[in-house]
Amino acid sequence: MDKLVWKIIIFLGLAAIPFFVSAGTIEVSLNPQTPEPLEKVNVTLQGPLIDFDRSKIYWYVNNELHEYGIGKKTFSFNVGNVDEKTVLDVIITTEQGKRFDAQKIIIPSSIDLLWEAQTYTPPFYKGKALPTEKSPIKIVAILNTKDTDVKYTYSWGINNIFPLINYSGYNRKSFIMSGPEEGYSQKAVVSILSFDGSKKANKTIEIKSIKPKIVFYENCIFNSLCLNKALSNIQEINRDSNGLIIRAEPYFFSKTDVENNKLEYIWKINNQTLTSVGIQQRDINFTTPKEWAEQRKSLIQIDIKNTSIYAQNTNMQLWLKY
Amino acid sequence: MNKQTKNKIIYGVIIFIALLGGIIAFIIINPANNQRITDTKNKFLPFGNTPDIENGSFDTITISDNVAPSDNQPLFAQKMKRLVDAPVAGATFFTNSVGQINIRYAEQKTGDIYDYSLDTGISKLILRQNLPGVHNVLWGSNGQNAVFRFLKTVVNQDTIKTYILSFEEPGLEEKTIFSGKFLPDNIQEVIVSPSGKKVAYIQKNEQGDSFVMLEEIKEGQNREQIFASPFSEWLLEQPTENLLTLTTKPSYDIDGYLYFTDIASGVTTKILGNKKGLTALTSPDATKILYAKNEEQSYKLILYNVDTKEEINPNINSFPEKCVWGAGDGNLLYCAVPNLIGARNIPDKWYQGEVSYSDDIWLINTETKKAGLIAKTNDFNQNGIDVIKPFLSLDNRQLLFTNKIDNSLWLLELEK
Repeated sequence: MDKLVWKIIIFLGLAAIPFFVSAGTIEVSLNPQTPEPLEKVNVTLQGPLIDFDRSKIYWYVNNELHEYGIGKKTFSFNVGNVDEKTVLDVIITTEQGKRFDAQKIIIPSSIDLLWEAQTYTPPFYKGKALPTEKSPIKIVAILNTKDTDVKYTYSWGINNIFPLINYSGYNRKSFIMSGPEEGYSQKAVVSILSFDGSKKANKTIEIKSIKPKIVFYENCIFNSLCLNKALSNIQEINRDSNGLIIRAEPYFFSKTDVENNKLEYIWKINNQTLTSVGIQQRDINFTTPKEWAEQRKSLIQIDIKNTSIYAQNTNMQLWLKY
Repeated sequence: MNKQTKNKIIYGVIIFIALLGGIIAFIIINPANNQRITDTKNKFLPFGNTPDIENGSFDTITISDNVAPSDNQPLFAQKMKRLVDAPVAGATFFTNSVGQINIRYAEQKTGDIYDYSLDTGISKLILRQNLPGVHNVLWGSNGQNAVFRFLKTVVNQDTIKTYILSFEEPGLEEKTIFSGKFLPDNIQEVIVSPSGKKVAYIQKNEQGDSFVMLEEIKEGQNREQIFASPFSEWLLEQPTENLLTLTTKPSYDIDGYLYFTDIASGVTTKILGNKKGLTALTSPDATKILYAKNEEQSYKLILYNVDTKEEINPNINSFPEKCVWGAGDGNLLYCAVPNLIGARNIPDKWYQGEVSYSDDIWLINTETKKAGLIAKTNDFNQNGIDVIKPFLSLDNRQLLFTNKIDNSLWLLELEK
């Protein structure tokens, strides 16, 4: 009798195999895989054991039949807004009348990846600090959701390295990377997953390093208001004036190095280095030469070097005409 | 019955049951009848239908013939004048105790405060401060509160100082009482609430995380935290007492984002995103946002309706901070409009002072979708005026603004 029971079990097991195999072989692939709120999603059916081209396929979005037809193995629809559940059902009936069901539930989340380069800009500057080589860049993931009680893990990666285990985990909303080589860009990626697995989102951004920049201003000694108007590359000054105080503002050098006085300012007038000017002096007092009738113009040059980061250096010049 | 026969019977029963089950299942879920499937599914799938999504649509504001003549001559007969000789750090309209509308301003070099009489054209010193150059002064409560921003520099090390000054002006014959307090050092951003009684500002910790604090101006050090983020490069606006706008600092080729934070609940909602070089100006009722984005080598203004998500393109290139919403009428916008055709790397180069503009002043009616030229600044100032800090009087008849190039203070009379 034992033998008979075993035979029945084996028979039933074998009979059930095709059902499991078939069910597991329908792949409903979404593009994009983790759509943003209201984003259009393209769906494709794939699977080796079903001839989709001869099957009748029904597409439902939130229980409403949207499209159907023989061989209709692709479909597009728009997912809902943030935190809204969209249920995609697909029913396939083969030519032989066999039915297969598949379902996808999508709760779109949206992530904004914001970043801030830890680079110097003058006080009160309203623009964004831009990244330069080897300057730290802080990347912050902002999850747009109304459901603040859900707990998430954040997985971070750079370029093709994902995830960076040491920087990933519960509530790790930010990540600091180093600015790529000047002129090159670097990809940062974050993947967010709710503890229960129902909500997920990915985002990738590309951040490009630029060269630090110098802008000349006039008379910044006592206030910052000079930043409203930079000196142009060829600046005319009043012949009767005694001269002007020129400020070189070092945009986008590493902020910490600027604050720790790691920048060297090398000033030149008409290609002659000003040895009397301190190495950390960002202002010089230009006096109009008495013999201006001869030349009537001077070339002002500056090299600024970050002594901590070799790659961060740049130079600038302007002509003063008088 | 021998064992073999018994087995055959058992196998037969099993096969019969399996076939019967298959036939029943096929009948129940036969997809040949769509209605039936829908019905069946409705029983098991409890989710409703997706509502239609309203996509933002573009409309174009046209310059109406009856609003502005075709030769771009100004809409109104108007007067524009420079009010004072000295550079100014900030100015506001205020009504004095006998109901006269005057202008209160702070000089840039010293922070000294003056009242300018619109009747006599004379400035009267109210308070001498002798500060070492003031970057900006924000005003609130009919000129009764002022927030001073200035720098203290020691060996290339800059410290941003923020000082709040309050005035108590009992009457014309009585002495004004001044009181003040410093906010923490190195506050990156500060704004005054619409009522003028509170300030909101951003504080950073050592990790670079930012905290938006709301503080009563006259109530000691009482403050509350209303927002926190590991990101800190925010620009603040407070269109209403209950709402804060956080916009990421802009750069021409970087996507910008704008969020609303409800002050009471602390809930933050994304409003705009993925706009290169985004800067914005929210309407006083927070239903509309005038924003600009860098596109096709220009800096286009777009009017965004927060509720309907509808976008209107007024075909005007400018910076939202050169605009001001009309007082009492949420549909009017006064904008200084520079020539930005072909402009590159905006707004960065403008903020760095590498480019300056000569603006025209335009009036935009967002309801009628009409716009008209009001004045050309180079008609009144040889090199034109690069307008910043526009400020309207409560009756919409006077527009106060500063020339970014030299911080001179100007008044445009808008009467028809």
